[in-house]
Amino acid sequence: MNQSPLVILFAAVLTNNIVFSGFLGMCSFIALSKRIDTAIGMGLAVTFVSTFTTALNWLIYHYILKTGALYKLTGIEGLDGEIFTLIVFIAVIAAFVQIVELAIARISQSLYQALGIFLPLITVNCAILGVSLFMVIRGYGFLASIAFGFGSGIGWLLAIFLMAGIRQKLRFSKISPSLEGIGITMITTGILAMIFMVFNGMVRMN
Amino acid sequence: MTLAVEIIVFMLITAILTGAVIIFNRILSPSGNVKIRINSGEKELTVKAGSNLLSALLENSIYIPSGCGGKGTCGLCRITVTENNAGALPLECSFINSQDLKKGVRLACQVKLLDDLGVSISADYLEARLRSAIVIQSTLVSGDIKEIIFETQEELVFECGQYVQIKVPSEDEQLFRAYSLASDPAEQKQFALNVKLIPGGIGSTYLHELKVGDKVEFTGPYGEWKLDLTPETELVLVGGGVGMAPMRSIARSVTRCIPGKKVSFFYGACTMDDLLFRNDFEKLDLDNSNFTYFWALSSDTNECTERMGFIHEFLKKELEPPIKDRQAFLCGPPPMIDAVMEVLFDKGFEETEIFYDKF
Ligand SMILES: Cc1cc2nc3c(=O)[nH]c(=O)nc-3n(C[C@H](O)[C@H](O)[C@H](O)COP(=O)(O)OP(=O)(O)OC[C@H]3O[C@@H](n4cnc5c(N)ncnc54)[C@H](O)[C@@H]3O)c2cc1C
Ligand code: FES
Repeated sequence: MNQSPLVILFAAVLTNNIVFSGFLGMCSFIALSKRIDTAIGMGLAVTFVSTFTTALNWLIYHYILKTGALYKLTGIEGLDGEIFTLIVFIAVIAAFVQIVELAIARISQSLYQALGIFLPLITVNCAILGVSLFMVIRGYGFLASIAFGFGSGIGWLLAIFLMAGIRQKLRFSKISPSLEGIGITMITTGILAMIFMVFNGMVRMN
Repeated sequence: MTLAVEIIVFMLITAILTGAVIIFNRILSPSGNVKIRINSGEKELTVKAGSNLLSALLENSIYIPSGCGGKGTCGLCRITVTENNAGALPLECSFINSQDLKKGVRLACQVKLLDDLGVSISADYLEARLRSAIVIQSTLVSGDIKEIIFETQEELVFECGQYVQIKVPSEDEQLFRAYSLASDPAEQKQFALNVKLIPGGIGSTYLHELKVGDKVEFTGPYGEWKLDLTPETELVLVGGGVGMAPMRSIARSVTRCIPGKKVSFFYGACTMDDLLFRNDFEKLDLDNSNFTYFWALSSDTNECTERMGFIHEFLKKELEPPIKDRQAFLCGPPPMIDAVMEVLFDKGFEETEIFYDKF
């Protein structure tokens, strides 16, 4: 339970990689892993969103939503915000993604165009919500949560980066027509997942 | 009671989040005005931030060509951004080669106005004005292609291969479509367009519905085709579909003004009915020993199988090895242009000797 943030970070990147062991966030992982630069852009956006939303969601959860927190805050007996957890997490993520979208549109038009519809879709990227929910279930502290959010983002970035590198090479290899595109990508994902399983013995996350 | 408080807490959280989005939107989205400095200070425009460079220039009566209404699919609205170039978008890279990208060439419709910009615009674009012309004839020349002849009040000076931009009335104030000039530049107060009706197309439908006496607004001429006027330079013309329009203009004026020039015209169409102005070209071929006309049909034809095939295949077969300097002008759908370019490179053409318009 009381793992140090560094261990959690390491585990989130490698041993419990959100893509390769959780198979979360797959749609944008597959859609945007065609080019390395787009993949890195998306990976950074996901990392940014996942780090900050995890931190925000931790604060909101522990100071407002958690059973007993509202009683402490207001002094009114019987108040419980726990039931809102999911809907509030989603709202926080949505608001945050919208702000990131505004920022990217302002800073880099070319990244904005390359990410296209997948940028607002980070809102419903299950990896992001998954990270917030895992953080609650696993009972991480604040720092541990930030480490977990950041690590998961970096893990996702690493996964999509590896995949984009492989797919750029795949473009020049002979693939049976029935497997071209998504098919071979799925197979590659499976093989990468098996490779990532090798890390499993190193740290145990509960 | 507790229920009410719980709902209030939830609504507070939502309100704070919405507030944050609104505040960031204020800070981050472009607002106010930006300045566009043209040709290092020759002219300066102040326009609203947030729109694109193309529409800002059009609103200020600087008529740079635009064939697709800013969708980034025609590649006509090329412009050089000299200051504050944010870098080309992935979409633009298919229209601009890497050398030009380094020089700052962009598609104006894809340049978002966020900061002050410096651009360089050639004199012809700066001088281009919106002019009007009256339809004096409109005839159907094949199933879906009309030849429309316009009369202008003042002379329209243009060169072969150039095109005009016809203003298409629409809710979106500034909508233009490009059409190649199909007439002989010597006809001074007249010009002809050959327009293919695209089902559902705004521009082509508008032009097809015009009647004699109707008025249209246009800008131009535009286009950078540099026809080599020396008689020794051989000319290869390749047209596909309505891509025959500029070829007709070139063929007619070259055979008249430079009779010694060798011209080969390769024309690819789908069916016999699409073979536009066949009689005209065959007559040119008969009357001029230096003009040769080849045609091919890509679909149809039970009648003459030897003419069946794509035009680039005929070009490969028929084009003789080079003797002298040559120039090639191509006009037609993108796949045809790509295939023809390949054949021409094989035949020893240099990139500088080939001019093309894809549409
Ligand atoms: C330099 C240049 C010269 C041109 N010269 C001529 C000319 O001499 N004669 C001529 O007829 N046209 C010419 N065109 C094409 C013309 O500018 C328009 O693009 C065309 O008429 C369609 O415009 P629209 O407004 O009718 O269709 P839009 O409203 O723009 O398009 C309607 C739909 O039709 C599709 N579409 C657009 N163009 C084509 C096409 N060519 N074939 C099949 N589908 C299409 C679009 O994708 C869209 O879905 C030229 C284009 C360029 C860039
Ligand atoms: S207007 Fe067509 S690409 Fe810009």
